[in-house]
Amino acid sequence: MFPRDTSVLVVDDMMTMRKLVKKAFTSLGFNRVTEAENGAVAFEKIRFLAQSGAPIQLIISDWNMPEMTGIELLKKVRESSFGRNTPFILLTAESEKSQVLEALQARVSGYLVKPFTTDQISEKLKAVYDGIHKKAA
Amino acid sequence: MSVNTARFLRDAEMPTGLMKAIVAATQNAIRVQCRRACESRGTRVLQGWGGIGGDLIATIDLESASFRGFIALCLAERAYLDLLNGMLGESYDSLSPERLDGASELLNMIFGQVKTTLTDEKIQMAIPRLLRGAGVPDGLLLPKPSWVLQFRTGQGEFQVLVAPNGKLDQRE
Repeated sequence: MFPRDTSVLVVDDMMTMRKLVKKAFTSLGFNRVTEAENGAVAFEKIRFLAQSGAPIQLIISDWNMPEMTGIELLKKVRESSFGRNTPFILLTAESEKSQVLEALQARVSGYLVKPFTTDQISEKLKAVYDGIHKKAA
Repeated sequence: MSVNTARFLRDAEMPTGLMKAIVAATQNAIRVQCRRACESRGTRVLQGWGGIGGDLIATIDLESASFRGFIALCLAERAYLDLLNGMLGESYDSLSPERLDGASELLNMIFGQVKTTLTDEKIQMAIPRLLRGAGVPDGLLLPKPSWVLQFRTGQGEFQVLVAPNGKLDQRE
């Protein structure tokens, strides 16, 4: 499982969802959770923190957001030198096959469909972490 | 039942599959995300000028090959606060600007689930809008039959409205 001091970024245009996801991570023991209200703000935060030597180590992003969607953020992060391999989980209310395929092609690490419980977040985090470490082995 | 009402129901029957999908999705979203029980209280048809209830209305515009309209979640303040408190594990007793968008997110979850059952049409969902207070219109202009699905939780009732070709409007 991800260490509890993993630097986590929660990205969602809805304050309620940011709060809900942040609370879930806090209840799972994570103590370095920060937020961004859309993809554009998130990308700047990711870049700044990477350049400052305190990189974001896990990104949880909503899909449907103004200015920059979650999938657009994912693609931009994957194209960057500082986010190429950062674990990235997309949250979405929809689970259409075409959407899942687009996310996989953009190298998403995991996908969580709303509504979800804290237990489901925990299971997804474990699956993503195990997936990363199996690849590395 | 008047003759006109019977004609609307006969000619504009909501597909059973769609109605069941909305009921199931609503109950699932409320149960999983808000940790509350939610009872379905039936469906009624609206057409023409319809009054709407609720202190808070979340809407999502929908577009497909065969219709353009919207879906809405209409909530009284007390019912919404209870759902929000369930979502966040809080004990809010009043609404403030930063507490409103939970209604939009709930509607997003509900229709996101419904959308996966509508395999015969590709439907585009817009980003949700939120109306509250003075922004809540007097009523709805519904040129085509639209459906109100009624629900009840422990803290009050709310509605999910499905309006093909409907628009939110102010009566002059």
